[in-house]
This record gives sequence, C-alpha cells and structure tokens, in this order.
Amino acid sequence: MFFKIRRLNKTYLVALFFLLISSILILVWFRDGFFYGGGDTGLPTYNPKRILDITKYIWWEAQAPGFLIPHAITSITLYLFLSLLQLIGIGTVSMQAILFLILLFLMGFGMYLLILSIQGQDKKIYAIIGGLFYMFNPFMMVQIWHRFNNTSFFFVASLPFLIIFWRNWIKKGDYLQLLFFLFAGFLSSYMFGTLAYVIPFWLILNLLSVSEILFPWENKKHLWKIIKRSIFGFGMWVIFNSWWLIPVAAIGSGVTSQQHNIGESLATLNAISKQAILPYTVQMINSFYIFAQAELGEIYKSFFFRLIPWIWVMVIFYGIIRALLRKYLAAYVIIYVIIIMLSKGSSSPFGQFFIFLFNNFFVLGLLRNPFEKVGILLPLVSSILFTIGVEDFVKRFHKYLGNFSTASILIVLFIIMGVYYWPMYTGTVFGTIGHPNYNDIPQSYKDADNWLNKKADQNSQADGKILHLPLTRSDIVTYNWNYGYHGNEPSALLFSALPSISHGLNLHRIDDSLTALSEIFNHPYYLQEEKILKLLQAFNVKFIVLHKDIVWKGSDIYDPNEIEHVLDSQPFLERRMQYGDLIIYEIYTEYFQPKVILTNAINLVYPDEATMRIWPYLIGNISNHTITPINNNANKIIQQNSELIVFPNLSFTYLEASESGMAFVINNLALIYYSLLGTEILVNKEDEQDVERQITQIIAANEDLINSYILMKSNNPIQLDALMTRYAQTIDKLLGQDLRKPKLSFYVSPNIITDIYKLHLLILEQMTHNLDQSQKEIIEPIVSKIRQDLKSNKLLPVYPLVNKENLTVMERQINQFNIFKKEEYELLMVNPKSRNLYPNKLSSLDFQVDDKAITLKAMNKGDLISFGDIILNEGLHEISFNHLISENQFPKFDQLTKNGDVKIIDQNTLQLSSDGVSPSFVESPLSQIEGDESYQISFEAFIQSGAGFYIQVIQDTDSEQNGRPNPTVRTAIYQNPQNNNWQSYRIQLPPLKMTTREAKFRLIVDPLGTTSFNPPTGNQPSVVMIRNIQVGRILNNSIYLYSKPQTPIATTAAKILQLNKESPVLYRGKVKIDQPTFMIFSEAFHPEWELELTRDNETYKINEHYLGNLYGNAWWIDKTGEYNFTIEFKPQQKVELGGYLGASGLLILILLILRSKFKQKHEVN
Amino acid sequence: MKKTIATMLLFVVLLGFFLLFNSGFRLDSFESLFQSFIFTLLTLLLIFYPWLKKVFIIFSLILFILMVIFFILNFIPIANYFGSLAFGILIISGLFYLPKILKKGYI
Repeated sequence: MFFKIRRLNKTYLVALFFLLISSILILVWFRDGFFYGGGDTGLPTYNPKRILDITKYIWWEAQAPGFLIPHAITSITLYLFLSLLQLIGIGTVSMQAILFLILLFLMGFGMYLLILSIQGQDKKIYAIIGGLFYMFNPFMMVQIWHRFNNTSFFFVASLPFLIIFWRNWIKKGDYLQLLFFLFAGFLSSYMFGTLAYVIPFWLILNLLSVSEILFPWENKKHLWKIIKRSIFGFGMWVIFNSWWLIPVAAIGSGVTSQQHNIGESLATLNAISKQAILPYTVQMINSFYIFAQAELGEIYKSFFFRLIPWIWVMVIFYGIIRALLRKYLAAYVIIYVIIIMLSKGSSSPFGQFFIFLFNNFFVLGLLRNPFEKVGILLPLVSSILFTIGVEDFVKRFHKYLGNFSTASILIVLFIIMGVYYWPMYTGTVFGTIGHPNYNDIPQSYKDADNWLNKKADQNSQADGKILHLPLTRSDIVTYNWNYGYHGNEPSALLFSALPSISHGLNLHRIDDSLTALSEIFNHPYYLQEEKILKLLQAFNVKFIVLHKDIVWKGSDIYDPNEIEHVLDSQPFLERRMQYGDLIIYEIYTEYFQPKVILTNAINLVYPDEATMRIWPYLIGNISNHTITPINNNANKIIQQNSELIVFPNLSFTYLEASESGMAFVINNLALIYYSLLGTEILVNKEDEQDVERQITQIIAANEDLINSYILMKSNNPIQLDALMTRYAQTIDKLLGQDLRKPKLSFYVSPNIITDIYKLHLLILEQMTHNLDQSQKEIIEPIVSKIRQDLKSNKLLPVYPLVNKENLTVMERQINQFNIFKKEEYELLMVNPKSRNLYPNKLSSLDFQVDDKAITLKAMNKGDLISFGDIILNEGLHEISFNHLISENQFPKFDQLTKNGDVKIIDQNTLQLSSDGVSPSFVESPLSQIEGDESYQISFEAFIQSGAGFYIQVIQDTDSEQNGRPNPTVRTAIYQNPQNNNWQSYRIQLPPLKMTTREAKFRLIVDPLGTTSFNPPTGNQPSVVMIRNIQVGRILNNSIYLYSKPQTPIATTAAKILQLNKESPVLYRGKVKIDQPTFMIFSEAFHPEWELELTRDNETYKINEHYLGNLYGNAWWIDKTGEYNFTIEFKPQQKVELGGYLGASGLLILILLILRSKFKQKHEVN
Repeated sequence: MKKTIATMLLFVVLLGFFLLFNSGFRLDSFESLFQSFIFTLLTLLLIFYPWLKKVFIIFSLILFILMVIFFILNFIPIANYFGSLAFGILIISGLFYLPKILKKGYI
C-alpha cells in the first residue's frame, strides 16, 4: 500500500514537473498579452464558438458564397472544448495559452508514460529525460511550433497516449484499453484536419503490431492473436470515426484527386526530398527554415550551431546499438530505420523505393512532403532511443567517473543541447526574428461586428451577406494592424452576423464570378450603377464593409480609397457607420434581393467551363439573371432565354508565317534557344539530371532545325540529310515525353514548349516546299506528330488561315464557340478605349469566321466594341482575328525620363551606361491603361560591355521595397557570347495586372540590381546601345457573342410564400407557381444541393439543376400549384449517418467490456 | 566453375536490384552507380561471409563520422554522399542480423 502511494506521489510530482516546464514556456510566450496566428492557419483560437458553428457543417455557408470542406468537421471536438472556455469568459489570449499549456504538458508527460511502459517502471529519471527530449528537439521547434501547423500540435501531443493504449490493447486484449484508445483519438480528432496524418498514425501503430508479432517470434497462435486484435482495433477506429471518415471518403476523395495529379506530386516530392537528405533527417532538421530561410536566425548557420545537433544524434546512435542488444527494444531500432527511410522521401539511398510506392498507391500522394508527414514520428522514436543511450551512458561511465562526474558531463551536454532551442525559451519561435506572429485585432472590428449583429437581430429572418471590399481573389490578405497581419483572410471569422464574401475560394467557377464583384467598383465599370446593384443583388449582399486598413499594393486588389468614392455615390447604398478604418454600408431594403427567388426573366450564358473574366452583366443589355447549363445540357431551357451570351470554349493564339517571315521565326526560335542555354546552366547547378537531359535535347533539336534550314537555303543536301535525320530522332524522343508536365515545367514553362513546337511546325512546313522526296519522308512524320501534339493540347486551329496575301508573320487569336442554336449573333469585343491606340482608331477589323475572311466595322457600344451581326448555325465555329500591334508607344527621346548615364547617339539610337554600381534608365508612360494589357517590344541592341540590360513595366499596383516599385512585368536581355554585335529582338511581355491603371515602360542597365530588382550580374561597367525601339500594345481583347431576345421577357408568375432557414444546409418554405419558372438559390453551386417539392404527401425531386448567376444554384420547375419546398445539401446526412455508426460502435465496445468483466468475475467465482 | 557462374549471376541480379531501387536504372550519375556497385559488392560478401556484417557496421559508423565532419564544415553534398552510403551499408548489414533478432528479440 505504502509503495503504491509513494509511486502515485512520484508520478504526481513528475506531472507537476512537466506542468511547471510547460507553464514557464507559456508565461514567456504570452508575456506581451497577444495571441499568435496568421499564415495558413489564420486565427484558429480567436472566436471558437463562431468556428464551431461553421465547422459542424461540411458546407461552410459563413465563407460566402459557400463551399464544401468535409474534413474540417474533425475540428468540432477542439472547438467544443474551446467554446466552453469562451462561455465561462476566458479571453482569446488566455484560451490559446491554456490550449498550448495542455498540449505541451501532454507531450512531455505522455512521452514519460510511454517510455515507462516500454522500458520499465523503474526508469523514471530516464523517462523524464525522454519526455524533455520529446518536448525539445529540432522537429518540435521548427516543424511543429515554428510552422504553426495546429493539427500537428494535436498529433504530437496525443500520439504517446494513443500508443500506450494501443500497445496495451494488442498485448492484453483489454477492451477498456481499446475504449481509451478510441476516446483519446476522438478528443484529438482535430489532428486529422490534415488528412495525411492518418498515414503516419496507422504506420506507427502497425509497426508496433508487427514488432509485437515478430520481435521475437513466438508462435502462430501469438501471430493470429495480434493480427485479430489489430484488425478489430482498426475496424473499431473506422466505425468510431465514421462521423468524419464517411463524408471525407464520399466527397473528399474527389476533391483531392482534382487538386493533385501524380506528376505534380512527384515533382514536389523530389523537390522537398532534397531538403530532407540524410544528414538533415537524422538531426530532425528542416534545412529550408533553419538554413535556407534562416527564419530563426543566422546563428544556426554557424559552426557551433551546426555541431550541436550531432550530440543528440550520437546519443541516439549509441542508443540504437544498445537497444539492439536488449530484448524487446531492438524493434524500435527497426522502426526508427523505417521512419528515417520514409522521411527522407526520394533522396539517397534507395530513394526509388519511395517513388515506386508513391507512383503505385494514390493515397501516398498525400505524402508529398514526407519529412513533415512521416518525419513527425521521428521525435517519438528518437526519444525512446535517446533515453536508452543516456541510460547506458550513465551505467557505463559512472563506474569509471563516479556519479558526480557522469552527472556533470550529462548536465553540460544537456545545457549545450538546450542552447539550440533558445527561440523556444524566448518565444521567438513563432514568426521570424523581429517579426513575431502576434495578432492584435483592432477594436474597430469588434465594434463593427457588434453593430452588424444588432442590425441582423432586428431582422427576424436573417438573410443577406456581408461583402468585404477590396475583395481579394486569393485567400491571403495583409492588414496593417498593430504587429500586422498576413495570412488567411479572416473576415468570415471576425464578422459573425451574416456570411462574408471576403476572398476567392480556389474554385474556378466561383472565383470567376467573384472577380466581377471585385472589379465592378472600379474604373472602368464603376459608373454603371444599375449593374453594380444587379451584381450585389445576385450575390444576396446586404452590407458592405470597406477595409481601409488593407495593404493593397502588390496584390490583386484595388485602392480602398477609390472604392470609397464609388460606394459613397451609389443611390442604393447608405453609409451607416465608420469604426476606425472600417466603413459599413447598407443596401436599402427596397433594393435588397433575398437568397431564394423565382424568376422567368433570364439570360442563357454558356459554356460553363469557359473563363468568363468579365461578368456578363457588363455586356448584357437586359440585366436579367443568368442561367448556365452544366455540361452543355441546355435542351430544356434553350427556349426560355431572353438573351443568349456565348463565350469561347477555347481561346488561344497561333502564329502564321510565310517564307518571307521565316527570318523572324528563326530569330524567335534562336531567342528561346539562348534562354534555354541559361536554364540549362541553372538546372545543372541544382543537379536536376532528368530535367537537364530534356533541356539538352530541346536545345539540340532547336540547333539542328535552325542549321537544317540554313543548309537548305545554302543548297547543301549531303549535310542536310544527316542533320535532319538527327533532328527527327531527337524531336521524336521529345514528342514521346510530355514536356509540359513537372519537373521540366518548373524550369521551362509549358507555354515555351508550345511556342517551340509552333515555331518548329512553321519552319518544317516551309522546308517541305524546298525538299526532295527522300528528305520529305524524314520530316513528314515529325510534322504530323507536332500537329497531333498541338491538336491534343487544343492549340491547333480547325481552319487554316485563308487570307495569306502579303503575309509575313502574324499571330492570330483563335476563339472556338459551341453554338446551341442557329441565330444572328452580335460579335462583341471588350475595352473600347484601346481602339485609340491602333491605326484608324480600329475602324474595322479583319476576322476569319471558320474558313471565310470578313472585314467588320467597329462601333463603340457602352463598355464594348461591337462588330455587328453574323449568322451562325448550330455546332462548332471558329472566329479568329490578327493580333494587331498598336502604334508605337515609345516616345521621341527628348520626351523620355532619363536617369544616370544616358546618351542620345542619333535620332534612333540610345546609349545606357553604368559604372558597375549606379543604374541608368529611361522611362516613358504607357497610355490608355485599363489593366490586363500585353505589349510587344521590338528593337536592336548591341551590348558593348557588361552582362546585359532589362526591360520592365512599372505598374501603379507594384509592391514597393525601400521606396522603390518591384516590377512584376520584366524581362532580361543578356549578352549573347556567340554574337557580340547588333542583334534584333521582338519580345512579348507578360500581361499587366488587371488592377493596373497607370504604367511606365522602362529600359534599365543595373549591374547590382538595386533599382531593377533583378539578380546582380557583378559590379562590372556596362555599356548598351539600343536603336529602333517599338513598343506596341497587342490587340488581344476578349471577344464574345451576343444574341438579342427573340421573345418578350416573360413575367414571373410565381411567388415564395414562406422561407425558413433551418440550418446552413437545410431551407424549407412554401411556393405558389402559376406557370413554370426558375428558382434561384444564392449559395455556391454544388450538384448535391437538391430541391424537392411536396404536395399531398407526394414529393417531387427537381432534376433540372443549373448554374445560377454563374456561381449559384438554379432549378427549372415545370410544375404549377402550391407546394412545400426543401432545399438541402444532402451530403450533410452522411455526417449524421457516421455519428450513428460511431455511437453504435461505442455501444458494442461497452457491451464487450461488460461481457469481459462479467466473464472475469465468473472465472474468479 | 558453377560456383563462379552462380556468383556472377548473383552479382548481376543484385546490381540490377540496387540500380533499380537506388537510382531507378539511371546510368548517368557516377555517384549513384558507384553506390549501387558498393552495395552489391557488400551484399555479395555478406552472403558468402556473414561474419563480415560487424565489420561493415563499424565501417558504416566511420562513414557516419565522415558525414558529420563534412556537414559541420558545410560540405553538404559530400556529407550526404557519405551519409547515404553509410545508411545503405547499415541497412544491408542489419538485414543479416534479422534472423537473430526474429529468433531472440535482440542480437
């Protein structure tokens, strides 16, 4: 009895010790009174009740217009707990501190208990050391705390306990232990918010089961006993967790397969594996954060800090040797080796084995970052081996050195090791040096939220959404709060009154529509009040919150001050409140449009897969609601439309050239060739041998083709045959590989590959006119294969260019339209202001419609250019036009802004010089900027000395560093070592940002890269002469087809009598329909949103489900009468089903426990 | 003679195996080829002279020490080369201890 109490006391003291250590850390971490957040985790502990309300449904309505996220439901256990803390009045900072305290304590104490259960109850002091090692190791410091991946906090904290219960279950067959295991798993289910953690979780448990069977082997009976228990345990885990496993398996697998493909995953795996090579993995160090980024300080690159980790590696290795000599412990060495092998991914040795698994088991695609996902097991196994090493060290050395000296050595070593974790003691582990991830949310957010909640409460049927402006289309935002904020856009969490439209959802269709919402308040659309209102109504917007604290430069959003002026002038908006940097606007009640409406006034817009960057309201004359058939299934509604708006299914550019344009084509290919030579050197430095081999082949093919063309021109048939044969072999090999996929695509863009093929095709087609039959036989199969490649990538026009007179070189924009209905269509083009830049103000433009060339007159029509009507039959049509280049945008030299050593040599020639330090540049503004423009620049350059120069477009939306704009549109012109003379260039620059309103063109010589933000080329003096500079806007405006209404707009003869929102996934109501109508439901489209009508105990499911307003749901109801209706997101029922299954699993287990207890009692009696 | 042929055959099979799992049959990397060759040779020696496994484990520990030295001196690729060679040898030699571990639970 006395022994038991003493032991209990000791365990209690150990628990207190770990609690003390954890408390000290927490006091340091939260000493400034701020909580941590930002990055991809956002603000996970800010308002748990709000998060709980959101995450208990797999459909997130709060993140309007709504999206499906099945695996987030795993977080309800955590947020239930945190909500309780919130309920008793604990604040955000204290809540995060309590959570971290519990997690830290569980890590240390859990590991202590696990080591005791593995090595024996008499190893308490070593178990404490093991617990401390588990808390303080590089993996925990960097991968867990510094990365701030909250799901991994739960994984590492719960794992020791889960292993204890699992081992007890498989060894003893005690159902109570299985119940503890399942219950501990339930409490820590948040960890499976990162789905990939299921793999290391079951990997370690299975390795333990196998160890129990094999090391040492006992007999078949033992084998079957462990296998049966393991399978039963796994089965119970599946049943117990079916509340989240079923929705994830049923819905999430499709999402995962859409997001990843094996090629990209493999490329990521290989890239990450290079950071997880063996010397880093055995130290448990993430080289990217510690060395490459040095986020915890440059000191970690020093000799001393490079040395420290090897102390524990040596102890672990010593532990490995000693463990191999001890019964039941050798298994942990094997487990350690397996985990090391998997954590290092595809790096040496035996890396191909991992790639084999990765390629053949799709689920392993989740392990693209094996060091993060499997390496998370390293601290656990390392702690066990470390403890064994320390124990044996003490045993051996105290014989020779005595207790004091041994203890002293150990203490000194522990202190040295402890120095490594300095950022953990100071709290700088969160964020980077000097930039802690503190969050200090301004009071204005709380005030604004309170005001909105009061307003929402006044409305008994809370309907509507909050639109947050400026609206980003990514999900990352930066606010200039005290301590700043950069990470997931948090408005849905900060504003709890109504769902928030606050960022893009990374779903093509939805984001396309949100783009319209982002742009409509800005130039050039902001003057069209009616369309702004229509758009707000279509998105069910009730309030607008303008964030003037947003950092907008350098991102995809607009200046909030510009938006404020627009909002202030809208007659349907009332500026209600201002709290700090937040301004709240409300839509007058009479203009507000409810979430569910009935209408017959619709426009038919298609195809659904098209990129509709400009919201169709901008081009529609009648601002009706839009209906888009899914998968082109429009048969039932084609007659219902009042307008038809057709976007291209495909839009791409295609180069055409005649023999006289071949010099240009060859020159373009040569430019790509020189650029690839630079890429080849880069790839060689990075030791990417596969990529280097492919680039070498592409370079060889380019070189051989250019030389073949030159030989053909100089009538040298003998050499030509050999060269062409070699070319054909090389290009054939290249065509056999998919060059547009990773890894090559990381270094050479797929567009470049396409350009290479297009240029090759042009050259080969020209060559066939001048070759004899035998030579033709060499290249014809290649021509055919290149055409096939372009065709299969949908980059080959169906109709060849018909009007080739006077053609030298011309790039065409090809647009393919799928026409549902024979009609007269108006051909429309965006951006009418751009007409001013082209000769004759683009009074007419040559089009090719299928195989007919036509010239159409242009006329401005609102925000569009109309080219009149054309009649198109049902079926596929191709409309193309030439990429005209505007008049020269580069002014006379005396109008240029000059900086540094700039000389005007003559009327056409400029000289830019640098002494090797100071930059020199010339600038001139570009006119008629509307955003998204592309430019072509042509010039001749002679780089007399230095490495080269840069071409840049400085945009008003570029981010600034040290007061200088950091341009995103830029290109480098490097000296060509093979031709040090005048050279001609014609370059297409990448498009400007959509938000850009002002831009300047710049030519700059800047060897150190300080002004141009280009990589330094060494401080060597540079002299560059440039002449005949032409800067032209490329006419690449989008085109659409529009058909006028054929029938008068139908009046809507239906009414919603009642609507109740029972939950974010279930709406019920009553409807009265006098004639067939559309029902529009302003929640993001998903095929599993279902509409059912009920009357007289009969239920009708409405199957005609369409895309409404290009993002929402719409149903065509062809029934009349009065009905009850239900709109439901059906997959939520799977969660409920899973819940019932889990509960029944629990019941079975409890019955089994009772049965076994009864049996035991019976046996005793 | 038969033994020599069998040994040669075994050598080829093992080399193929290591080339497959170490470099995916990529023959343009000398380091990888050399590593596969070493692994093959050591495995062959261990098949015929299993008592060498202890020697090879000590050899791999020496290579690990070289890895540490090169890492501290910031020669990361060399450190990685020695480290991966050592780890490969450790695994191969360790496999020959497996029957004993299976039987007794330790070595």
